[in-house]
Amino acid sequence: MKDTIQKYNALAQNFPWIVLGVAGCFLIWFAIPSAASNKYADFASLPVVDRGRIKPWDTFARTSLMVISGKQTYKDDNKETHSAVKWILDLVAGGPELQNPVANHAKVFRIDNLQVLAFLGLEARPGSYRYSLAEIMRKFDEIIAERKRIETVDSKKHTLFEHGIVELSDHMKIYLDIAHWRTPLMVPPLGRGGPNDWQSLLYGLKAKDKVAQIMELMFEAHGSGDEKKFNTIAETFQKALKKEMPHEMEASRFEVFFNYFAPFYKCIELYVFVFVFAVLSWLLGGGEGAHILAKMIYGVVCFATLLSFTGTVLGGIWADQSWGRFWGWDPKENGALMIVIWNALILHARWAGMIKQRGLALLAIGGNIVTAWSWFGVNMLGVGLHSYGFMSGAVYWLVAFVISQVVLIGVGAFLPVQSNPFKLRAGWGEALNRAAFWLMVMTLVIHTIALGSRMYLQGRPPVTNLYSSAVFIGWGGVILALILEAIYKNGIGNVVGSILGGLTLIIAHYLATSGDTLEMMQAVLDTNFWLATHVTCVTLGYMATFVAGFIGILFVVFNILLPRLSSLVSGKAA
Amino acid sequence: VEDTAIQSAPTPAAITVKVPPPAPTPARKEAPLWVQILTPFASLRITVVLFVLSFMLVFFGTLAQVDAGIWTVVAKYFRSLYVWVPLQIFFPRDIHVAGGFPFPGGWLLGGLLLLNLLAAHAVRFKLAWNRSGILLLHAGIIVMMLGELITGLFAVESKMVIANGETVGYIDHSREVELAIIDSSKPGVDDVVVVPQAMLKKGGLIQNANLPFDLEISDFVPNSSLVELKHEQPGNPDVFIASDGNYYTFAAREEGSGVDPNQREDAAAVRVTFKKKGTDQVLGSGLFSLWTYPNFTLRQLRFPDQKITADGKPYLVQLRFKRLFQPYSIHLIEFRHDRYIGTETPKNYSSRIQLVDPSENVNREEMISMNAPLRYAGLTFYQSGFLPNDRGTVLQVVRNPGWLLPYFSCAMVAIGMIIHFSLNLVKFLEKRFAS
Repeated sequence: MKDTIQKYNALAQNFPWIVLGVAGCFLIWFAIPSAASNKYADFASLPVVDRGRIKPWDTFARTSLMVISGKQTYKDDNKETHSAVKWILDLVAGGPELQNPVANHAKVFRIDNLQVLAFLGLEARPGSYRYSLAEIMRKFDEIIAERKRIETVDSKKHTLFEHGIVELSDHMKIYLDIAHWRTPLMVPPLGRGGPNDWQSLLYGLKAKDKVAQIMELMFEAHGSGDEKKFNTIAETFQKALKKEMPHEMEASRFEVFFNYFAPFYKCIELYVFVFVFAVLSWLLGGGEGAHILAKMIYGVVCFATLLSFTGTVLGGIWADQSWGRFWGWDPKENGALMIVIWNALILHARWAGMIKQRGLALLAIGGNIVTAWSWFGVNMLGVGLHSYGFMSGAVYWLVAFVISQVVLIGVGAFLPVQSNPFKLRAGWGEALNRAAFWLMVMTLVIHTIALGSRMYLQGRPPVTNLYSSAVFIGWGGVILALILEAIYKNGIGNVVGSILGGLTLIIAHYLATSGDTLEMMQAVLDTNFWLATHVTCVTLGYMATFVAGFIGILFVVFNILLPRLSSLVSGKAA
Repeated sequence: VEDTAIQSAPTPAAITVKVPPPAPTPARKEAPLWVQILTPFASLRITVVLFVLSFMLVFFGTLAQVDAGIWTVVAKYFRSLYVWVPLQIFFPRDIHVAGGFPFPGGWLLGGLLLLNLLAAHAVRFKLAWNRSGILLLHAGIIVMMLGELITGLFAVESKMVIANGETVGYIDHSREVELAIIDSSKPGVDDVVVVPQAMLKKGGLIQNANLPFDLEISDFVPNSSLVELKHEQPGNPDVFIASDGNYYTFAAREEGSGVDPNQREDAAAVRVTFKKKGTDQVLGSGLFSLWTYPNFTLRQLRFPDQKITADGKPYLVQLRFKRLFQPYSIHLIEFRHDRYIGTETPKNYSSRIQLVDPSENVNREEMISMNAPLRYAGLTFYQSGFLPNDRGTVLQVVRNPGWLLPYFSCAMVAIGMIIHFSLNLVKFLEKRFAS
């Protein structure tokens, strides 16, 4: 009996290392390219120019397919999944006359607007809602006529149907521009012009450029099913370009690996496991008392005030350097200011003795609403307050989030604060918590490498757009959570970190549906010390405000909801 | 030495001796009158209430920008004593909601916060090392609020538009227009009479000895759009033929809103009827708009000059930005505009200029590019844009006597916060490791 207990304890003792080992194997397994991804490897990493940036075909194919279809892969009629590269190869091989039947019948247009489907005379396909070019082309002239009519209407007054037609025709333009060889600029400046003199295939062929002609041969080979010839030409291009632009080729190949490995997506999966372990450890005994939680919130709010204030002021300095206006009261600036005021309000209310532990927790949850507003809500203002905006997905989620936070605040305000019914116990509870901690450290390493890779590929500071701000907020949040966990060792840091890390990466994942996440920035946003520090600082401030808010939620759960629940349960049992 | 002696004493009772000697009970003195007066204003509770109100004001002022231009909102909400907040801003715009409520404006809340802060520091002022961070950071916030006050009261934003190879000696006020009546009959000199925006807004009859005729002003609108017409409309004086050969007219439209991602400049327009001095005899009438003004940066087309003849003399009439003439002039040598590879997305702009100021004996070449402005004569020149087809440069010109204050403030607050939070962090860690 004693032996089994000892064995049991040894397992518990080493459990964190077993978890790390399994996670490591999982990562290595997915880092090795599969046979399917090797099929067009030479072609996939050939560079093209699109939206002001040199990128591999792989990225161009994935982002284009993502925009029109909402996914980076597609299924054929036999339910077999194919890569974006295969799709774009078929499409380009079809050429301006759209002669490739495989491409024409690939169901890649996502249309979920029922009125638009009725207009096109197509049936609804719940679950996928994806349609092929051949199906849409039957009504091509009608779509164009409708689009022309809609353009005369103020974009703010568009109906849901008109919005759907605009979206569909935009997607068709992206598709047809590729088919007509207008985008991307795929003919590299080999043996002519300067390094920036990239051309579209259409232009290259008209100008009788040799490189363009060879490229056309390559696509013809793919179209006629001669994969050997296709791969030989692709390999030749690889070699020639490696000589001409070694750095770009290096980056391009790295980007293909980055796309394939999808480190941010792996991080989401790992954060889910961190969360599961941390919650399991609590079920075996855990949680935290009101006193410690309130202390943690206070510390994090101090931190959030410092970061959000400094970040906001740095933004002012950048604005002053760029156009001579320190503060412009524009919606985005106001959003940042609201976070600063909110955090200052929490601190002063505590110093004034107006709030105690519970008030601190509830105001911190309020901070979640303020941050969500500043980060996302403000972007929706332009369209959000007009009719169709209310039905679009992002607004719906924002409203749902705000309501959930308001409910938590309401519940927290009306039910009494009681002591947490759980007590932290040693043994498996502790082992699971340690496993969660070390798994989060490992995930953070991947997260960091992925952020670093983005910086390498883009040659810029980490935050350049909404997508990267999400990735960066999550990253900073996890670091802060790890520090909290290292100090308090009560699982709070693990839970908050995994939720924040996972959630922000999921948000980023959905933001990526609008196209290339490494897109170039407008001139004013380019290379400025104040701007880079401002954006970094202010996003860290958002992050810290979120961390405080999540601990506030845990306060409500552990010291208000769970005690209530357990007393209800025991009351019934009695 | 005595301390160690006590600690090494064998009985635990000795440890209780370590209790500090009882402090002498402070003689309860009546606080001075000014402290008594200030104390109610120094309350932290007032601070919290003011924070709540400021938070709400900023939120309202953001929502209001869905409909109104940013500067209208700034003037109404943030640079005012009170504001009437319409209920409509909280609802989707297709649901009409009447009514509203009054709310304290930015000047009032800022002033009260400042008073509260100053009172608190005056009443509770204690110079102690562990309070230094708090003191410094609040002093920084005072500097920042003063900076915004000075900016709000004195800053002027204007533009200087210079076409390639041209020399310009004036700047265009960004948010004010004027109607100019120009007599170019004398060689080398223009005689110009201007009607300021306030008079145009008021409308009605304008009579002045300097004007060659009387003006009847009507229909001043802060923003107008350029409307292309499909057909010529013979006899309609409001139709203009532009350099592209098409017919256009101007139609009133709402101000550009603050949340519009493509927020553009507003093009004011006004209708003017010209009458022979002191009579009702109409000499002519016309619709004037910034769309015809060469320095209006959105203008892509050229329009024919609008002229009125009085007493056999032609006068050029133009609605233009209020001109502020400068003692110096700027000549544009070269404008550069780099784009990202394969796109029209701008990567960098820069203007090489010659700055000439005879009064100061200045004649030198300067480079203005993004994030690298030129500071001269109390003004700052920023690279802000360019004329269509890279025909010239657009410089944002700002006079802000308070421009340095935010920098001081930023440094003070950041240092103050770092001192304060590090002191607390050290205390926290000491306690943590001690236990």
